Amino acid sequence: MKNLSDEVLANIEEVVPSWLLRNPNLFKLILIRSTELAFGALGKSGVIRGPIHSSVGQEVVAVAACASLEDSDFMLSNHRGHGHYLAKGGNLTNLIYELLGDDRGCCSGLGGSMHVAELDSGILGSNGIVGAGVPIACGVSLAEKIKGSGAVTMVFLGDGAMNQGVVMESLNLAAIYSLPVIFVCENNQYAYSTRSDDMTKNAYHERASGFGIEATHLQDTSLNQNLKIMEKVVSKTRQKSMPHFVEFFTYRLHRHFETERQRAVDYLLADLHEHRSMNDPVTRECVELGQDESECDNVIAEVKFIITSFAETCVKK
Amino acid sequence: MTYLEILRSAVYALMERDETYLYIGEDVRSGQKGISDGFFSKFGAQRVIDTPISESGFCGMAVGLAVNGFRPIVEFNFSGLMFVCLDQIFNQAFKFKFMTGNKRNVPIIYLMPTGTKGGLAGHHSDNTYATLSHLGVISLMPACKEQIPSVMDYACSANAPVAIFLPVEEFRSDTVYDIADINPFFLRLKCGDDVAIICTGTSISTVNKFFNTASKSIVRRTALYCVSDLNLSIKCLDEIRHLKEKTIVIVDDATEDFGFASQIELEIRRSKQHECPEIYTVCRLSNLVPFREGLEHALRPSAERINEVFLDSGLLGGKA
Repeated sequence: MKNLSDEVLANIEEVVPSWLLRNPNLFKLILIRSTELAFGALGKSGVIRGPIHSSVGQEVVAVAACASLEDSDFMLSNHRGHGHYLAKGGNLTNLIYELLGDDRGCCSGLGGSMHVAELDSGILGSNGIVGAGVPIACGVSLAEKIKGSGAVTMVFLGDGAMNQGVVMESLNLAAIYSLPVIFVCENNQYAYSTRSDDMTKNAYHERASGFGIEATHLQDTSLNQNLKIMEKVVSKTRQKSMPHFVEFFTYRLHRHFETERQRAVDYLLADLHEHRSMNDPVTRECVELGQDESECDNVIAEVKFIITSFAETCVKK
Repeated sequence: MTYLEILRSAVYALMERDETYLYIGEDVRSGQKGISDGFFSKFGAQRVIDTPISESGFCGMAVGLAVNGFRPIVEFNFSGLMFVCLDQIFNQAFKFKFMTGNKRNVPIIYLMPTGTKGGLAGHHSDNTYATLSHLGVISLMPACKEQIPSVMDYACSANAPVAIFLPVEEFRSDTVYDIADINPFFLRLKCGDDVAIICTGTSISTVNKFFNTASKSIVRRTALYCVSDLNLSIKCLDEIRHLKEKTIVIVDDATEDFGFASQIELEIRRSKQHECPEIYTVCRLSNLVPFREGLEHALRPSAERINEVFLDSGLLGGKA
C-alpha cells in the first residue's frame, strides 16, 4: 500500500495505529472518510474552490467494489468520486493538489474535485455530467476485449444516473457486445434533493436484468461480506467476459455538496437521516474489529488534520 | 470516380494501414451509406462494429476506445443526429484531454453526411457545422473529391476529435477540379480579378450551376474559392485575409445568423478595416426546412439567388 511518492499518505501511515495498518481495507475506509471530511472543511473555509460532493457514508461501496480490481484494471467514476479514486489506489497528495487547482494535481489542476483521474493507474476520470462516464467505460472495456487483455472495467454511477438515456443505451451496448464491465450503481437514495423512489418505479438492478445483464443487489451493511461478493463478481466478469450490474443500497450522510444550504423545508427524511447517522458504517466496521468508537473518531480526526494542514500549507506557500 | 468512391477508398486505406482504426456506427456492416461498403468482409467484426440506434451510447464508447489505444471512426447517418449526442462529442471527447491534465489524446473521427439533395424535410436537411465550430471541435468539410485525402490525413494527424462534414449533394458527383494547391483548409478553384465567390462544400454545386448560367464576362471576372476548414484556423484565415478582390460573395447552405458565413465576413472585415471589400451573402434563410419543393428551393442558396445579388448590386454590369 505504501507509495513513497505519495507524501501525505506516507505521513498518515506514520501516525495511524498498527491495528489499522494491518487491515488495509479498513485503512482505506478511514482514509476516504478523513479525506472527505478534510475536503469539506477546506471547502467551507474557502481553501478549496467550487462544489465538493462528499461520499461520507458511502465508503464501504468504494472500498468493497475496488478491492478486487488489479492494477491493470480500469475504473471510471462520477462527480462524487474522491472515494473511488482512493479506493483504486490513486495518489492522495496529487488528489489534494488537484482540488487546490495546483499544477502538481492529478489532472494538473485543470479538472478539480469533480474531475479526478490518474490515467496511468487505470483511473480514467470522474465526470461532471451524470451518467456520461458509463458509455465511455463500455468503450474502455471494448478496447480491452479486442486486445484480449483480460482486464475488467468498473464504472460508478448513482441512482440519479439510472434515469439518463445514455446509461440505458450503455447497458444495452455492454450486453450485446458481452463487455467485461461492472456497473456499480450507488443508490444513496437521493438524486440531489429528490428521493430516488419518487423518480423510479422499479428497482435499478431489475432494470439491468431487463437488458440481459446479470445483476446483484447489495446493502452496505458489512464491508467483509461485500468484499467477498465483489471478489466473486470481479472474478466472474473477468473469466466470462460478461457485464455485471451491482446495485449498492447506501446513504449519503452529507448533503449533495458540502456548502449546500438547508432550505426552510428540508428534503431529507429526518427519521432516515437520524437512523443512518446513528449507524455510521465506518464506525461500525471499527467496532466490529474490536476498537471502540472514540478510537475510531480519534484516528479520523488525526488523518483529517494531516490532510487539512498539508493543504493549508500549500496555499500559504 | 465519385466523391463517395474516393471517400470510401480513403477510409479503406486508413483501415488497411493501421489496425487501431475501428469503424463504428449504425448499419456500417452492410455499408448502407456507401462509405463502408465491403469493410466488414475485409476487416471483420472486431473492427467494423454495427451499433444500435444509440448515438450517445456509441459516441461515448468511441471516447473509451480512443483513450485506450484505438482510433475510432464514427459514422453518422446524418449530421443533425449530433444533437442527440452532443454531450459525448463536446463535454466528453473534446474536453477529456484538457480536463485530465493534457496527458492523453482522444483521436476520434466523426464522419457526418450533411445537408440535403432535396425532399428530406426538417429533421434530415440540416447543416450543423457552425455548432461544432462554435464549440471549438475541429471540423472540416472536403468540398470536392480531390480534397478528401488531404482532409483525412489532417484529421488523423490532429490526434483529437475531428468532425468531417460530408455534403450529401456531392456524394454522386464526379466533377473534376484542376487545383494547384490541394490542402484541407482553403481551395482556389477558379481565377478572376474582380469578384470573389467564397463557397463551402454545401454550396459548391450551386455555385457551379450559377457559373453554367452566368454571362461569359461574369464567369471570366469572378474567382471561386472554397473554405473547408470550418474552424477558420490560421492557414485558412491567411488566405481569406489576403484576398484582393473588391467584391466578395459568400455562399453557404447553412443559416447566416451566428453562423459560418457571418464568421467569414467578420474575419474579412477585421483584416481589411480601411479597404474593406463589399460583401454579400447567399445563405440558407431558415433552419426550418420545408418539405414542399418550391418552398425548400426558395430557402436554400441557388443559382438564381446568386444571380440576384449580381443584378441587384450591379456587379460586373449586373447582367447575368
